[in-house]
Amino acid sequence: MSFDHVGQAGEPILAVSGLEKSYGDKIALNGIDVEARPGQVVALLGPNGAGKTTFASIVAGLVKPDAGTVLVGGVDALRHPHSVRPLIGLAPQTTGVYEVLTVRENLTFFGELAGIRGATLRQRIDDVSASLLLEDLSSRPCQQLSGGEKRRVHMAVALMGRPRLLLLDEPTVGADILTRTALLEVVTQLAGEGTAVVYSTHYLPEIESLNAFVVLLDHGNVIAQGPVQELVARHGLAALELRFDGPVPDLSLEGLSITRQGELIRIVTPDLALAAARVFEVLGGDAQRLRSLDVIHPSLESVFLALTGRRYDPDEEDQRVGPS
Amino acid sequence: MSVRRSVAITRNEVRVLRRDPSPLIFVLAVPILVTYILRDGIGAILQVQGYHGVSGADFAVPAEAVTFIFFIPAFIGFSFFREHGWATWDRLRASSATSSEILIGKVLPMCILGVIQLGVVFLVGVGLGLHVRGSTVGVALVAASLVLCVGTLGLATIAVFKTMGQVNAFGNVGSVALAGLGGALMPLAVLPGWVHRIAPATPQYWAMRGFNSLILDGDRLRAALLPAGVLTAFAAGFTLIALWRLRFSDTKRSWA
Repeated sequence: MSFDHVGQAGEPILAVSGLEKSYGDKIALNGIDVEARPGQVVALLGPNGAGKTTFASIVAGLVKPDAGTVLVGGVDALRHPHSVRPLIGLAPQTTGVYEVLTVRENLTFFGELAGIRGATLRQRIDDVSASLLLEDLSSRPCQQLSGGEKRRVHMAVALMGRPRLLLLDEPTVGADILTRTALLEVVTQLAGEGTAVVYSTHYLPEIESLNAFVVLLDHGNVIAQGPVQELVARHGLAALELRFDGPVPDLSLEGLSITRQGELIRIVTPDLALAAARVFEVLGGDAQRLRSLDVIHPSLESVFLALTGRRYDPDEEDQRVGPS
Repeated sequence: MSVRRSVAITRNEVRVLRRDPSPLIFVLAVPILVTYILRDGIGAILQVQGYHGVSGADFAVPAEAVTFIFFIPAFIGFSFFREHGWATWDRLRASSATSSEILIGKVLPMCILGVIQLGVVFLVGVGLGLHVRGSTVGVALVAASLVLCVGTLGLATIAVFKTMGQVNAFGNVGSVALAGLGGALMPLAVLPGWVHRIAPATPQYWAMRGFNSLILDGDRLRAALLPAGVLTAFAAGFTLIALWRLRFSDTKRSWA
């Protein structure tokens, strides 16, 4: 059986419903529903603080939610966390490897924890190492590896149990181009083999390249979900953004949707070229105060803009109370 | 409960220990060295106390073994806290291993280290003049309850402390202070009266009381029962503290 990444095959491996979690008075998740089916890449997308890490931590059994249900392979993961753990592979956001042990020793340990032994374990280590370009590094202690190499070991650990549900929390953070490419290829390959992948990230281009089913999070709420193309087609309008020195001029352009925020004018339009021509026509002397002109093409970024009224800023929330 | 997973965790601990064997060297070599240095002086003190025909090693061997075995709770603490430093703790928790499998897998190798330490120090001690006059089974019984006490104190350590610095301070300063108060650095008879009064509050006192009865006084197995019982009671108390305070979801601060 082959699977596309958006994925429709089979019953959901992960079915999350009404998930809520707060840290003090900060709401991390506000009653969200998410499903992941075999072969599907579900991308949790949102800026820092959107609730992505909290979501992955709850599904992995590391954090208890305030409300909601989590079914993994049809089993209640909150009541029977140990029953579902063999189905889950987790690569948390922070790189977690035994620094003094070699790559092979790290993989051996987590393979043994997953219940694999002997020749099967050796074969699994070889397979996982090959897919993540770790073969030549296997006898090196992790503390001697580069950040990108360590990141690949971190990911490899999550694959040792051949999970049906793979939770990847910001897998490419701090990764070099080689690592990023290898990780994305592995995700694509695993989805093709039927693994459900929940991939949380704040990098929009990765999601577009994975052609994933997107769950767009903002402040703990799902603001939209669907395949990338569908979301872009539904919400992703093109826009022009003009930034001025001083107060914005009072532009009046019939038929165009114009919003003003401080020194910024945003013009949402399906025809960028025509809108730009009309803007410069009416700017007159104010054109000299124009500091920048940004063109926003229809994309996940413009979807976020359309749904929240804010430009997508991956780092917009750095002050976090708990896992985000 | 899977024995295989606990064994896998134990094996991993041994791999880490092999990369940095300093704890092993510390608890094995240092007590032997200190015994060698102190045995003549201790022998003289024992003579003054009225012990005749005994060697200084008869006190110094168990005393140094007891003093240094109490560094093991800190090693247990380090083995948990470094998981936080390496960010492997959440991976371990998210694995198929249950909490008890993780605890057993990580504490067991340190308990085995305790057994090895006592065995090696006592065996080398024989070469330095140690002679057990009383029940050797009694010595083994006190030793076993001592290892149990040390292992559970390690669990209480990881439950109570939040930072590697706290574990380090408790492990170094605390264990030496308790050894002094418990009569494991010097025979209690030469220490001030107030130390005699508080000494029974330390597990070191009961371990030394048991070993002294069996080795120096030549008592029978019966003399081991009370010290072994009290050490086991300490172990039960430490286990209760661990059960009360230990939360796997707690964040611990490593050196990093």
